[in-house]
Amino acid sequence: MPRKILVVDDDEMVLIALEELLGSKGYDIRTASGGTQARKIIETELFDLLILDLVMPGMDGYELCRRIRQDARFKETPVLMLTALSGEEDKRKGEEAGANLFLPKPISPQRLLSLIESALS
Amino acid sequence: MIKMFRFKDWKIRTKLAFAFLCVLLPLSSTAFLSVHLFSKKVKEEAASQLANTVLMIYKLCQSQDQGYQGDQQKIALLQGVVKQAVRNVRAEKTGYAYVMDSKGVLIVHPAREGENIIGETDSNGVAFMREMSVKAMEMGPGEVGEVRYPWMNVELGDTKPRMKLLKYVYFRPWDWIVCAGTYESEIFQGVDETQRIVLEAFAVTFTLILILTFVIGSVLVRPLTELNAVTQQIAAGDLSQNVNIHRKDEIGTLAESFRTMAGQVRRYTQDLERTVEERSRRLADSERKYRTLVESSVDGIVTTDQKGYITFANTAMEDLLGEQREVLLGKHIAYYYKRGIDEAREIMRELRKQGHFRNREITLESKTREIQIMTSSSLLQNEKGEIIGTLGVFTDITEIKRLEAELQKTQAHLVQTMKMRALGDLVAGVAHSVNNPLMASNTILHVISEDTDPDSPNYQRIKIIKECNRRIEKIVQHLKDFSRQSEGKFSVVDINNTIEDALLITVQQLQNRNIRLVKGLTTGMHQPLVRGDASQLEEVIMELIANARDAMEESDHEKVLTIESKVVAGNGKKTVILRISDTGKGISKEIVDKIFEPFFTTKEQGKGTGLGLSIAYGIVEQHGGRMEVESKEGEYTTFSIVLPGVDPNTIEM
Repeated sequence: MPRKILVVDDDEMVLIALEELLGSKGYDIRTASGGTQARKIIETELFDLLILDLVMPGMDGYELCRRIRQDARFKETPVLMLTALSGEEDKRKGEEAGANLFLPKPISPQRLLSLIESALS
Repeated sequence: MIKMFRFKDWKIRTKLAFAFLCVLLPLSSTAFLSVHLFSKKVKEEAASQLANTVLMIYKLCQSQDQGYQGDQQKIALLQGVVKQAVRNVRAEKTGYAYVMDSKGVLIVHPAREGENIIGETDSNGVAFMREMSVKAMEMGPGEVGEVRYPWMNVELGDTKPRMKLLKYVYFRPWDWIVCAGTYESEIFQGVDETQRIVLEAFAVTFTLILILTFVIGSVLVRPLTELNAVTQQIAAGDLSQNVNIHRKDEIGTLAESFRTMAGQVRRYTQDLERTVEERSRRLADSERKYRTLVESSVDGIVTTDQKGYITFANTAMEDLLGEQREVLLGKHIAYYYKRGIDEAREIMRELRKQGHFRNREITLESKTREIQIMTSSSLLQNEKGEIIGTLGVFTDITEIKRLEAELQKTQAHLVQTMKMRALGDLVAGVAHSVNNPLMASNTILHVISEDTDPDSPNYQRIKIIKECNRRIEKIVQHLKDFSRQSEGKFSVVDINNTIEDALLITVQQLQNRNIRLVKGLTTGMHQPLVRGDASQLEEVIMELIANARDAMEESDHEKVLTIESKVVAGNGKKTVILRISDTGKGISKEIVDKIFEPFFTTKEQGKGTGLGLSIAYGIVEQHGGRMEVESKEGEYTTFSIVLPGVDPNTIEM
């Protein structure tokens, strides 16, 4: 049973790239281009890991993370937050919202893969 | 000269004397003339009387002789009659007649009959009897002779000779010389009396005239003299004087007029004095007012004469130049101009052209300092419009100038800060926008490379693209660092430790490049403490060391890198200064302003991003400090970082 990962990003290129990368490693990938779409997906599906972009139109990554964490099914699910921002303040806000890891964009594919692996183990 | 003799110029006494003399002189000369004529007449009469006497005796002799010629007895008798007649003749007081023969024998004489007196001499020693007898013999019948001789008759009590007048006639038939004589003085006795009376009258009159002249003169002149004296005193300014003459004549009127006039003069003078006093007071008030105005002016006010020598300076000017007025006065104004006489000439030229000017900036030089001055000046002219000097107002703008310079510096700094901040925002936006596609690209490349045979040409090509992406990533990373706005976690940092940390990493590189390291770190009491992010500060030091290292890469002379730190205290604040110098190629003047701008680099393409210094600048700025550079091309570059210091005693535990 492949592990199921939801990737949320407003940048379609990022979604495609991550789908290619993670797909090639045998993960089951679902993508959403925004907070609303993501919440609709998780209403019906369960995931082993969530990768959230921070800066998105409409609902941003913090808000989305908080909402997901309110859902009892996702209380313990690892959340990786990817962001082009890298300030200490952003990192703190991300952790408050319930993110497990706060990673800067761009992150090298190898590092991302190893972090995902260790998060899922 | 002629004027001196004008009658009206004469003194009054002289005039009076002259007037009296004019009357006296004709009178007296008439009197004297009369006396003279009278005396002449008397003399003539006396002489003719004497002559008549001798003629009478002569006729008597003639008549006696005529009838009795030859009869000696009768003749003798007749002669006796005549003799008797002669003896009875008396002339004046002591005058008498006598008869002598031609041989000098006295035939008839009151005292000396029978004596021969032919040898008698007068008081002058002249044998006048002999002369007379000679003359008498030569005379015709009835002709009367005359002789005058000085004679002293001791018997009559004479002490000195008196002139005697003698008339004589010769009666030939008898050889008689008949003489009659008398003292002239006796003849003139009456005349002398008259003469004496006239003289006495003259003397009395003259004396009276003198007295009158004096008295009338005094009466007329004394009040005039007094008037004159008072006038002179009044003229000399003593108005209290008055004329004390009270009479009813013209002089009294004059004195009264004078008193009236003096009173008027006194009144006018008092009025005038009051007016003058009032004007003086007003003038003094006005003078005081303007002096106060001038003296309380905060601007220096100076006047000079035409040649530029100071004739007046107010208090503000004294303060401005730090010199006492006594020192300033008489000095040439150019002495205080920094540009000296050239400045003075230019100012004078401008003044002559337009009479005044405003707001010229000049520099004054006092003993202690240079003073920036804004001066306005104008020509001073007298009532005739002639230039008599200049007036200058000096405003000290040294402080304004200093503030202006400071403001300019602050403005420049602000502009620089704003520029950096705007650039930071821009760069942050760019970095964020680039990161997403960069990540997508990297990820896809990774997937492709995993699917590609490492020996295929495409694998190499993918590697090149990856390298490209890595470089982009690095640039974006720098951009992000540069634009980092948040302060992070600040703590108290010892700059010396930060320097040592940075050197730990870089010292080997420096050694490899033959760069000698000189450390001048502050020690002991002066711990260079700042509040900040140690890793960021280390980054700044690393950047500066790297720049210094690169600058000395191609240097021919000794390669020295100097790192210094020090603490400066001032205004109750401590400042930490960190200085990194190299002996490298330096920075040209043209680009020295741009070195802190992002993407500005002198390094060849690919070797530097042009962001290092701008990031360092941003970090220093976030720490509330500033970074400055000083450089001389081909010789050295020094970067100074000035950070607000922290007092070790105030660190929170």
